[in-house]
Amino acid sequence: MVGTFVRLKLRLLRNGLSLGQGTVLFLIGAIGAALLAVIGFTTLVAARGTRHAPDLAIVVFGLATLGWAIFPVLGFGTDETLDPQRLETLPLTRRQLVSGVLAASLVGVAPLATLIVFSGALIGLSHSLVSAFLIAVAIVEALLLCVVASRTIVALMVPLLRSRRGRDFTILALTLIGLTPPVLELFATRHAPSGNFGDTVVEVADKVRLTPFAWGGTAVADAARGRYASTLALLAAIAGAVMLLCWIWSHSLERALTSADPTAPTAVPRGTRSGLIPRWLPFLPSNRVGAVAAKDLRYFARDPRRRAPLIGAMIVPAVALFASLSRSQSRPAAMTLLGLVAVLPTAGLTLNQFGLDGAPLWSTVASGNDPRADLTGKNLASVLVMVPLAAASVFICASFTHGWTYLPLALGLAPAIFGVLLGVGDVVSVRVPYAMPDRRSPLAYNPGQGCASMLAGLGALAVQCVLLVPIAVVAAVLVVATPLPVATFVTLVAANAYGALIWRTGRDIAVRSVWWRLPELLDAVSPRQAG
Amino acid sequence: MTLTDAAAAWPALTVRGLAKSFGSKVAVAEINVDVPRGSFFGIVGPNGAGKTTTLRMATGLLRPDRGQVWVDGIDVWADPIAAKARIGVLPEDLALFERLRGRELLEFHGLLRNMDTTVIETRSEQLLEFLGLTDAADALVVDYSHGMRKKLVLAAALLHGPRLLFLDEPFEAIDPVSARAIRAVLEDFTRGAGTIVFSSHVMELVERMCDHVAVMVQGRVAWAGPIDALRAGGSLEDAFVALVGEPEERQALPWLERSSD
Repeated sequence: MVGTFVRLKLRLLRNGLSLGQGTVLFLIGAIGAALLAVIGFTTLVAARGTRHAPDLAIVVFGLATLGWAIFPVLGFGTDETLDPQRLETLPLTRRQLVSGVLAASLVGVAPLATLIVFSGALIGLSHSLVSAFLIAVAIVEALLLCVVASRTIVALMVPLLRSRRGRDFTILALTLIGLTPPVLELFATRHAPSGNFGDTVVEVADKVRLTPFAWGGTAVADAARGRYASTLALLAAIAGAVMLLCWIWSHSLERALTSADPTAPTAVPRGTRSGLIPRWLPFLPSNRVGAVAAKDLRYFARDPRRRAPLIGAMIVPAVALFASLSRSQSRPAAMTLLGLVAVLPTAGLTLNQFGLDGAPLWSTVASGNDPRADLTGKNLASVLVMVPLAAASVFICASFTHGWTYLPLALGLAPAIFGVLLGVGDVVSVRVPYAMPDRRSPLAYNPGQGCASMLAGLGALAVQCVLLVPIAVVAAVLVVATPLPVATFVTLVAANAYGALIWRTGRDIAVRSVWWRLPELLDAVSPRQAG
Repeated sequence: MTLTDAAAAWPALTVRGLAKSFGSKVAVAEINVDVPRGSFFGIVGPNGAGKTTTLRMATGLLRPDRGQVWVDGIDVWADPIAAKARIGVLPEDLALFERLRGRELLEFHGLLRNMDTTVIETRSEQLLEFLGLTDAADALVVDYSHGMRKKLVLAAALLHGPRLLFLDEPFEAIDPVSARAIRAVLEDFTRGAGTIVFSSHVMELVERMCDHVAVMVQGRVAWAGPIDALRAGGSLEDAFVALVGEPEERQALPWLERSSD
């Protein structure tokens, strides 16, 4: 049975290599893994003889194990041999299933890369036959711990990922987790530890050496330092942890296989009955424009796939801006205008507006040919979401700079800026549309985006920036040369006229080019289906 | 919607020389079909025969390589606005804006066609009630079962009062209760002089519901006309198999006949 699973895994790897688009992703993954393997291996080997070599092993083993625990969560569904749903109908005992999937998990690029990294410790730290033997055992056990830990975490997550709310929550949680490092870094730069690399390693190793993630590394380090008793104790602890995880894994696997899919409609609290067009937006027209705008607004509120990139686009520049404002000594009042900069990255969301709809776009195509109304509705929804975000950003900025007199100017510029962004975005959305990843898979990356659409996206961002320059120049010149009220009035009139012009021109170009090509647009944004 | 004399002279759906290839695979090979007004027209055929491709081309969702499609005499690909106003579509894959609630999705479909809000509301309530979706009307569509989705899309397809309804596998993976509700709605629709074109694998269903049928095999129409003429007294399945052809020498699987214990 173990042999069958291993052959299945090898076959999947081979097939992965021969599948057009998948090949590129596979190669990127393999190159990344090889790079990490080489770096980890040489780091450990090069440390041979240095004082901090054992501590380095603790840090490297700890990082690798932590990576194994987190990474499969991000790539859930990419390894078909570990998706328990696929094995549901096979008459396998729990023991066969666990040993088979475990063996298959040990075959692959990632386990090989990890093994290469770990074996650097064998060369870098062994000094006698006994220590070499103990380190080799520790390496094997640490690798097993990595694989079992990651599989256990996936199996435990299956029930969570099966329910819609669980998937929604996971997407948002991952967005926030993904954003934590840059945000922390921004705040932590002031408290960066001073000292050389070796001291830092020793310091970190001292803190983590007894966490389960670092047990393997600590066993290696103790073997290198000749503390064999402690090594043996740690090896026993890792073996125990592996067995415990295997037990948890096999039980949660069985539960995942036998529990029902929670797909039944959830109860709706009474009194939630509402129309498509929100009551608090009475100015949305009751026609196609209003329908598309209201639908997109509902999606911003309800679809984590739409919210996550918005949060991602906003939070890093905003935090960077506010962190640097809070640190800088002089804060001229005009810096209030910088609050608008934080919303510029949301321009990325304007570049594939129909791709965000995906296959359901058929309903818009089937019910008439009116791309003008569709684009207008979509742009309206974007403005209704992004202008308040820009306003919030400007308010926070003003509270730092006390430049409240610049508030009207900053607020009034926001619609002009979004006019420019959306005008360019509309053209790109119909000229280079592409399918977003399958919505069923909660953690899918984007295989549909080819090189061409990526380049087009970058080009569009550049065009958006260039078209924003006149607004910036006019605002800057007038603010410097004339009294603020005059500058505010003239800039707002000129910038908004300019923004409206760019938006209308872009939208009309988009409408003309897509009017006869709606089926092609639908085809481009619908994810490929099997068969 | 009243028909002008000119339009009334046309069949509900006219297809001439319609063709589509995907790469080297010919999906639909220059087919011709006339769907009489007020008929219940079934398109049957094995998997991959080109049924879905034909329906997508007839509804303006997939551009044909060649050929023309007229709805009430209106060229679907030359005058898409007028043609699409007359048709309702239930596609096979049921991709929906599933973060809307059921009732919101119906309103969305109605507003896309610039219908009056009070009309949308009245008809939505009636359709939801008739199809047994009232209790789930305020749940997100993402939480709907397959059958509920199908009924909801059918409601959306009927909302604007189309003349011609295209249904791709409307009874696939549907429980008997939902199937009965859908059938009742469709029978009402044809009684009101509406025309239905639907594709299906299920011969009994086509036999029970359709008055006209087209048999598609490998992208071609092998036979089209009144169902009684095709059956000629026998069952539709026999007539279908005779047209499609059966593998001649089927090798026996003797081990299947032995009991396993």
